[in-house]
Amino acid sequence: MKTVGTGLKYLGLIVVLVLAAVPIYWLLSTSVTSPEKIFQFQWFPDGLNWQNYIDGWKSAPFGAMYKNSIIVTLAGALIQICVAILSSYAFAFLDFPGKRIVFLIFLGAMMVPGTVVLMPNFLTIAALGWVNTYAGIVIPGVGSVFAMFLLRQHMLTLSSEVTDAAKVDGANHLRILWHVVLPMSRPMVVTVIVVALVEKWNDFVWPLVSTSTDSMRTLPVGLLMIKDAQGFTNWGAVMASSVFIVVPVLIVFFIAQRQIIAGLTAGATKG
Amino acid sequence: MNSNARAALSRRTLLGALGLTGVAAMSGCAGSFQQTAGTVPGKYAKRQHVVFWHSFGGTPLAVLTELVAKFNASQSDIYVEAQFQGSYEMTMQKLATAIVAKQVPDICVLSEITWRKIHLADALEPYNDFFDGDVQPDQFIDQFIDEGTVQGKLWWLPFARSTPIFYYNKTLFEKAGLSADGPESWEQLQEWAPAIMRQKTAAGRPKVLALGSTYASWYLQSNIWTWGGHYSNGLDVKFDTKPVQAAGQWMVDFVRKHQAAYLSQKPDQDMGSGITACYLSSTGGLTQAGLNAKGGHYQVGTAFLPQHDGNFGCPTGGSGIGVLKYAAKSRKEAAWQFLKFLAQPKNSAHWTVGTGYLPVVKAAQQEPELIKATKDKNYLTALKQLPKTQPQDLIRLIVSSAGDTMDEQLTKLYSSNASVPDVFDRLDKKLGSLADLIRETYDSHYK
Repeated sequence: MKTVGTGLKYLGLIVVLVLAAVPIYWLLSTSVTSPEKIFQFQWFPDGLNWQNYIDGWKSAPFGAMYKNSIIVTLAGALIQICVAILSSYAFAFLDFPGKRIVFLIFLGAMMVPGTVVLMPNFLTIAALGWVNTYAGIVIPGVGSVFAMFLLRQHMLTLSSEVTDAAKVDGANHLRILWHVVLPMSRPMVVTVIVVALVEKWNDFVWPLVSTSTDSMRTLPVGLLMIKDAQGFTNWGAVMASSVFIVVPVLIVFFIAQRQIIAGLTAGATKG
Repeated sequence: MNSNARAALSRRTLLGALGLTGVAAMSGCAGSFQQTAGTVPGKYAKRQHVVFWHSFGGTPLAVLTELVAKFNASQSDIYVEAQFQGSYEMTMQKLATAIVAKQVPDICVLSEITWRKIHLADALEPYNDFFDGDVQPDQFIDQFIDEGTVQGKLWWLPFARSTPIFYYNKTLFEKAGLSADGPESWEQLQEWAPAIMRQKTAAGRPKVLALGSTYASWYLQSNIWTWGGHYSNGLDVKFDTKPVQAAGQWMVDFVRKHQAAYLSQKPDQDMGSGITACYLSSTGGLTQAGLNAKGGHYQVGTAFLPQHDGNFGCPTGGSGIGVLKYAAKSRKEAAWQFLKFLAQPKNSAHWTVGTGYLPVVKAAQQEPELIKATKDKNYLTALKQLPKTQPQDLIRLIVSSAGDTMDEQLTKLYSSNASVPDVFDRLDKKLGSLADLIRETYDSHYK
């Protein structure tokens, strides 16, 4: 009976593995298939056609886009995590008038879809003269309620004895945050950073709207540029470009993977 | 309420319906408009800077980039910067936002649908005063100029225009003992269906016709006309009329009764892998069709859209270019020099050969580059069909989201057991109420 149960468990694992791995395998195998063979169903490519990668790289200014994506992602994620840490600490440990109301308003803002704020955000950066600048791409996205909420929930689980002890020893808030709360929240902070990195890296609509010239565009916009809605699309090049766009994200994810799993479950129960 | 205030209010209602509420806020106020952000390379710094928003990716982007570079090298006063803004819909959304922010491009690519919205929002400049000795409207294909003309003024200059054509697997047709020229009518295709479905391909037994889920209502427009109907007459929706329902019923029968047609995400790919023998697609899809055929080891054929009862009908599609009313006069005039450059037969022919879009200038068809390309018989099909095409019925073009709504209901018909009268009657009411939202603005612009 026990072996049957174990067998079923492994079967389940295999199903999940296939579901997750096949699309990635398909992406990789298509990226080395010659364009005329792409719509012929085949499990293994005939040969390794690296030309797709060359065509892909040449069909949009990917060099500049890589640079922009890296700048925008790192700056965006860094500022976002700073804002999120400070605001979540305030909501978790400080008493200030209207705290509940402000918190509820923040949570309400989480329900507003991003497309709704697209236009007001654009008008704001246009008035500031930030269209087609890094500031214009990064700043409107640095306040993340989700990140703040995740960190706050985690901070509420920390036992108050530790922070009280620090207070008794004469530590001020910044010191408590830096030396006590942050070290205890490491998995959650890493989770938030990774979520932010992936989100900024993959962001498409806002960088498209807030920039105009190729020199300021990010990688996901580049991917759109090598496809055409009505005419001919070199799918081999599209797939190859997708590969070199997702690889950095995969690397970040593999490195941070352990921390994330610890982080996502850590706040699950208040203990 | 005085008439001015009422006009402003109705425009606001319209723009609200379009999701462009902000545009109304600026209509009437003559604040200063700036050119949108861009970059000018050092060697062009002293030139008049023109910003051109477009929606072309892939191969068309490469050809456009080449033409723009050629224009910039050809003279010493103007620098045109082409800026990619995503799909036609994204480009329109961004243009609407840019107008509210008062930071606009000088010229913008607009689809057969989006230009009418920007026109109704009073943001376009008519072309009539630009035309001079070198370039005249009659040098362009007549029906494209007609389509861009409202109340005697031309608002939309043709550029990347296309029509649907009929693609089929020629090798398979020959094997089945059918005419290698493709079917002449829908009835003939129906007669041939059993012979086609008996053939064997890499994917097993093929279906006859893959019906694309995107732009389903663009393709069906042809059937509606050949059955003697119209989607609409002006803003008056005609989905409850007999010819429209009969045309829809025929296609639904082809799907359900004859089991010959089916709904497909990617008809061209389906033909490549042998799932279908025919599909309808844009003229711009020819290169893709050829490549798929090479991979699948068959010959691809193209034909005119099938007829019914001796009637033929084919809608136009694709995009043209609009000049922004709010751009400074000097920039509009510089932009016109660029548009004149694009309209030179040589450049129009080069764009056509590189992209598969139709030549928008008549004289382009005498250019050696285009003549050479039409040695491929498939290439000639679109050109020969061109004089017989016409703009779509207005409801799909002018009413916000009408095309999407129609596509949604048509795909539902192709993939379920819903009854045609039910779906079309409901569609008639829905489109009617959408049309009512813009009726007043429409009347003030079109009547």
